[in-house]
Amino acid sequence: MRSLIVPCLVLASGCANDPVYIPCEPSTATCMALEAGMDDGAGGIVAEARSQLQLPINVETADDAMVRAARTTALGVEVPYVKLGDIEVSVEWTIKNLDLDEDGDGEEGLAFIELNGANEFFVYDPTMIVLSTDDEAPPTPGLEGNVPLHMLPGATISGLFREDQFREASIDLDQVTRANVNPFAATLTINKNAKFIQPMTPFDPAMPDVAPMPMGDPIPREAFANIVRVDLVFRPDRHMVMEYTVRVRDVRGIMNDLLLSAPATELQPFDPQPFAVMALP
Amino acid sequence: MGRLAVSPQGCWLAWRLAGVLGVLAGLGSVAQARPASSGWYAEGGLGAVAFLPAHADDAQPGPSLNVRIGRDLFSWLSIGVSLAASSHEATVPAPPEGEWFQLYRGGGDIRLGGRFDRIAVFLEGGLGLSLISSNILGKVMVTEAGEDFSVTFQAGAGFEYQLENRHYALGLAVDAFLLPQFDAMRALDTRLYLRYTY
Repeated sequence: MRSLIVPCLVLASGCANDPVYIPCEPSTATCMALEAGMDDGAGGIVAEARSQLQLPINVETADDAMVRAARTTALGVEVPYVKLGDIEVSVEWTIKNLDLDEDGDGEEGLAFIELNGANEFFVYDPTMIVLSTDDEAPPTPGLEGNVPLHMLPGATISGLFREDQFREASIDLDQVTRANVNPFAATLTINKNAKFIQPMTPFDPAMPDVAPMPMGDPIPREAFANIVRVDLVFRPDRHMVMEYTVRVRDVRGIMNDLLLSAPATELQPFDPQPFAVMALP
Repeated sequence: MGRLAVSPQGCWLAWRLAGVLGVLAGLGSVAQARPASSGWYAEGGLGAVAFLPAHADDAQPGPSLNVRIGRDLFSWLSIGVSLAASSHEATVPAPPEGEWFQLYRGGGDIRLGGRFDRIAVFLEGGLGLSLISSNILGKVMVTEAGEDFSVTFQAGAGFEYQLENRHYALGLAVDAFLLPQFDAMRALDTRLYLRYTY
């Protein structure tokens, strides 16, 4: 009997943390076609394509909600249902430069992919965060990406937003939204090993140059929220198409087995609020 | 008491006769088969699993690990249960790229065979269950949402070489298996194994 038990345990342990893949192809209804850079029919070009993918996470059980409420009371900070590390997310993408005519001629292009997202509290959209109305002020950064990708005519390249980049992005999102940390400071520093987040005084549009001050108790790492919605912005300067697949390792076991095919009643209805900051002219 | 006188010529003849008888005796004896234990046995093997068309392009061949225990019921029939695991790189259209998945198989089987001195040959067939570790082959419609398990039909053949120790044998086996729930995916499992019979 022991000769059976040991192999069973070995095989069972091999199943832990196995990833699931959530495809988001242009042909599916759940994602918009990430195709941009082509003629928009009105004399211009389609500058960017955006996609949002809500991760299919099960409805929170009553037991989980009770435990979470108890932790919220103990810590004095709202503990999210999907905490940092409950799931490990990565995104693999492929871009194809379609700027190639029948003779095989075309032009080299440039593409940018920006990763944003939402946790269960807030949506991070850098276009909603304007810290300065100065024309020369840099735009608010995305959570990750925005690296220039040089694309030869007809070329296809692949890339990846790694799990540690998503962890960093989750913490940056929490820093910006729940702790009022400047988006530049949040995204330009490495926080993936941070033990806590110190909330700051909110950005004052009337006095944008005033340095923020610490305010309130720090948010401990066990109350950090994980990204539950993956937002991608694709900006090519030529006609290109992008496909991606979200890979999730379900560490806590909260992903729905049916993934995007799951009935809506089985999925947690997250309602994150847009985080907006507008500087006054 | 008379004395037997033996000439040198007679002695030479006697030696020659003894030699001829010895050779004849050697030729006339039955060859002794190499002894092999029979009864409960265990096998552990390493090998490779390769998928067959139409899904040969969706996953690379991968290394496999196999353990099996069973019992010889007769000299020509044995039953067993086996567990196997193999790991494969998915080669579905990108993205994703370079991702791996594991296939775990378990089930029972029957083995028919015979022994010819130190070589045994067998045919085997079985039924079991398979578990795939991820849904990455969903991209090529091998698996559907929430589908992790498939019934497994398996059949194959092999041979064993009995070592001098009657408990041990080395074997080579090739099995084909079919996974109906995974879009009727088929594969070949080739393994080299060590058998210990109690």
